[in-house]
Amino acid sequence: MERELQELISELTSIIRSGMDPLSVRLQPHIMRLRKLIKESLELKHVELDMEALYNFALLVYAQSKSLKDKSSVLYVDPFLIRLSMLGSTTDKLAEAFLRSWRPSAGRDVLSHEMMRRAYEYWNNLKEYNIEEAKTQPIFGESLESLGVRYDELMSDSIVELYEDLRRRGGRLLYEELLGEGELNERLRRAVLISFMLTYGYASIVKEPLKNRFWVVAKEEVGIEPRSQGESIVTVVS
Amino acid sequence: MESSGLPAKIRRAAQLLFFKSHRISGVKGWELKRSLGSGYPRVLKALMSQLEPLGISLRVVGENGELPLNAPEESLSTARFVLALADPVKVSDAKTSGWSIDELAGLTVCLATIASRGGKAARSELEEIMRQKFPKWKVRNFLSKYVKWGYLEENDDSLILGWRTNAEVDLKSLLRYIFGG
Repeated sequence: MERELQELISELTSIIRSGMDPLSVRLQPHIMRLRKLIKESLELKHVELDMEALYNFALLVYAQSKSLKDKSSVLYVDPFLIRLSMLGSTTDKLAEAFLRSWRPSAGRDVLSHEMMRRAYEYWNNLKEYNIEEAKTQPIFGESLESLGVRYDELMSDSIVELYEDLRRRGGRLLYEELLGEGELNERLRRAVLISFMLTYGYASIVKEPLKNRFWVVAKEEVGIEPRSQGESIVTVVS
Repeated sequence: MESSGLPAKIRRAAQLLFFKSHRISGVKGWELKRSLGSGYPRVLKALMSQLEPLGISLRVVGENGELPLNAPEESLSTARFVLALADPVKVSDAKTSGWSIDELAGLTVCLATIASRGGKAARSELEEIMRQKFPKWKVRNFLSKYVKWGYLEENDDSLILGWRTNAEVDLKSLLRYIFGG
């Protein structure tokens, strides 16, 4: 019985979703079927399915009523006929049909003296925008050295040592914890090394958005994921 | 005559109706009432007596189509009052205003299809019909323009008639002309 009810529901939903003309569906046989099934059982699970089937009937009846209303309106034309007619027309004729039934709205889109006067007043009353704009520059070898990192160090064991340090400490550390609490120079040096360690695929960053924290997680298999989407994260080392 | 007299109100009504904000022409009834007072339909009638000889008509577009100026206040309040040209546009004038014949024909196809489908048509269906006359890139371009200009509105994966179609296009005539009437 359950299977029969589910079949009925699925038939009704597929009719509704198919986009076919709802008026072409004969409801009576389906209703007789449901009436018979309703009488057969009053078990809760069956009553629930009965309700669902009834709800789908209601949707179908609503679609029929809407379709009837559309077809009885003066605007109704058969979609198939209109399509045929449009395909048989040239673009010129279609454009002409539109132009004959179109009355474009009129409007002006110009500045008046009054609007300019108000805009000038507004401009004068605006507070001065004085946030300093910082220019970013690429880091070169000398800049790296000033941060305590030698360029050749980035290709050497320092990154592997940092990676092993991370693994020794459980393989997962907050970014700040990995940075350490030493002098600013040392922290900057480690920040650069962490950045390269991530780029080389030794570890990844996991964001914890609710607490606004970043975890550095050591990878089991080192390497850059071929399809990974690059992402930059800006942090302040102080 | 003092500045709150009828001539001043007529000038104010003209400013409100002609001025475009955010691409949408015209103003809502409640905005006219706020600016011109509760007797705004009378002010509009006076304005129209001056504009009609110039070929400009006033259309009051409610939620379910056009309304007369003496419609009940609650319907007028939410309706959009739009000034429109009273006479049909010539092809040459439409071209001067930046429309291409293809754009006009594409819009005709969309409006007629949506109207024949009871006010809503799947975007894929419109694309399919238009692609019988235009290349794919043009069809996509046209559809986004029609939506941007307010002739169509997006509704999930379907397109419906936009506010501008309701304000500017006589769909009954359009369908009749398509059938060669």
